[in-house]
Amino acid sequence: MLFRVDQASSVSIADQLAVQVRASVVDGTLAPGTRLPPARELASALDINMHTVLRAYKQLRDDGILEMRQGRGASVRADADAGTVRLTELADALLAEARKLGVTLPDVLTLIQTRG
Amino acid sequence: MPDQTTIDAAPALDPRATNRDRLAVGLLWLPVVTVVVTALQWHDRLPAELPRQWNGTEVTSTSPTALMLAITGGIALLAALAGLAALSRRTADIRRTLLLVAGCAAGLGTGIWLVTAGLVLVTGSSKPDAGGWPLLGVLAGAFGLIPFVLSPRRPFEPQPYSPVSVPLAASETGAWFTTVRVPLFLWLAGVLGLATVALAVLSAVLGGPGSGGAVTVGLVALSCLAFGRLRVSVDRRGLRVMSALLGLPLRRLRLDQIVSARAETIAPMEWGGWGYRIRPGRSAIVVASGPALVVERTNGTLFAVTLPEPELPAALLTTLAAR
Repeated sequence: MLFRVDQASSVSIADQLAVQVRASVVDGTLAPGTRLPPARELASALDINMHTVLRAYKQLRDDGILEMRQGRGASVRADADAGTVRLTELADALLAEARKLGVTLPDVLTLIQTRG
Repeated sequence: MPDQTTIDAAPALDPRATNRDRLAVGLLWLPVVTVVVTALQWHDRLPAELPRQWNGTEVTSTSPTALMLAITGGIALLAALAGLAALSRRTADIRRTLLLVAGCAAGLGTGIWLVTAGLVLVTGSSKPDAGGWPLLGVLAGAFGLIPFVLSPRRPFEPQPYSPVSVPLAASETGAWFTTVRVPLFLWLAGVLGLATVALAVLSAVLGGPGSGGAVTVGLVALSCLAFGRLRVSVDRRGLRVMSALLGLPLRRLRLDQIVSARAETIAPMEWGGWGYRIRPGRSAIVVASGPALVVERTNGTLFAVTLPEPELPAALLTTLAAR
């Protein structure tokens, strides 16, 4: 897949990378099981800091899109698909909206739990 | 990805094997059967050593009969197994070539066995005057033409690609990665690896002969393994092709060595076959027939690597090289 990074963008570089990986999982460019380039390799290719790449990978792991194993690097989870990505995007939107309205995280969780 | 193109799906050719393909593959077992049946029949009458090399009318070297049988029969068996692999849908594009090569190898192995053992039996001497007979053994390699002709020709249709560009802003950088898997090469590496072990054990048991064969087959197995999984990347450092399994860089081209890159459909035979090919004015890493990334270098030569969907890396490489 193609990774691109815009140094002039207001979006952080880690977020730029994460968005591109998510989009590639959604459109099928990154099939489940596909291994991503090692963080050191990607950082060197894009001339950015390795920790920036690791931050993006960790964010994607927390979203359930990537799995990271010692010595094997990051790969797309077998169960990661458009649905997983959509769900994390909706959660992000919900949290952003709550933050805007001044609703705290415990209140958001309660809101969800009362519906479950 | 935002700038990724979708490729217009060309009407794909049916990769399934036809009945004629199956007949061709079945025929590849004929040499195996021939070697086995003759070996069983002649077992008691053959001497312990068979001639291996003639110089004019004189036998200059011999090999143990068991080793001759193992090598010639082993070649026929490997060829028959390669034939079975040729029935797979994944090998559809190279099916005819595979059948030709397997058939030639099987014919050659069987021919050499039949001529050597036959000569010894007919003349009753363990060091017979061969005359022109060894030539017949070599000509038996033409057996490969039979499965080749039987297997139907698959018309080669270049797929249409929509052109793509990667407009990068001055503040932007791009990097593209992919891994190319070639299951056929991995299978070949596995089979040849087993053959290497078998030859090495046989050579050790017999105390020497055949060790050169084991080394040769081992090297071929290793090169199949090297091309079994490729990592290809395009970034500010240029184009890189690595062997993913051996961790070896196979090719590196810096951006200042590159004029431009394009996507092309290539036929392996036009580039000299599979693997790492070097021909006058161009070189290539060929693991499949079909789409490839073709790079024009500043020294006027071409370099190609076969990839699925090479448009995006081609466009990125051209953009980066022009900076």
